[in-house]
Amino acid sequence: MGALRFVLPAPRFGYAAPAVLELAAALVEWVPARWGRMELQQFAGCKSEMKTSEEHERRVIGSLEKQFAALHNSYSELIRATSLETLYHRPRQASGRPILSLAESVLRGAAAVEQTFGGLTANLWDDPFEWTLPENLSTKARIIEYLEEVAATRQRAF
Amino acid sequence: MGPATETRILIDLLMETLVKATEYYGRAVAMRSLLAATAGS
Repeated sequence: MGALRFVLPAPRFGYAAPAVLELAAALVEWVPARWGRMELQQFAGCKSEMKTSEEHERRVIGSLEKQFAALHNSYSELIRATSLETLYHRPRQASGRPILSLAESVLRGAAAVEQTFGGLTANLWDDPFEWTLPENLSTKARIIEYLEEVAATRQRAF
Repeated sequence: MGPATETRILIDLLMETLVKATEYYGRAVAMRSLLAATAGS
């Protein structure tokens, strides 16, 4: 008992006890409330960030959609504005390197679009190389028809 | 994989496709210029 008195002097502890208990009681109320508010604020922040991120992604996808549509129009205009004789014409290269004709370049680009959107919508990831060969799309009308098919596949995806 | 990750992969794929398709358009336009220059010379 004597040792206890030595370690915890009764008068000091006696004065401090009510204040300590009061502080402890206040902390018991304050800490969960504070943490709760912090969690709520963090949650609200995350939700707000997620919303911003979703909006941003939606804007990016919307912008991509417009770019693909513009590219489709450019392809079509280019094909319409080119004569049939020059569509698949390959000028002679001094280096001897193979060079794509105008129509082949357009078709390769459209084929890339078809492959991506065909894959996304119908899980068909095949390279459309075979059905975009010049022998299959020998006229301007056939090329335009193919471009429209690609555009329809793309529109289904968006 | 969460929906956010899927969306980002989708955006990457679309951007990659758009770049590729635009590059081919550029080649086609270059070819048209080349043909026009050849025809004019």
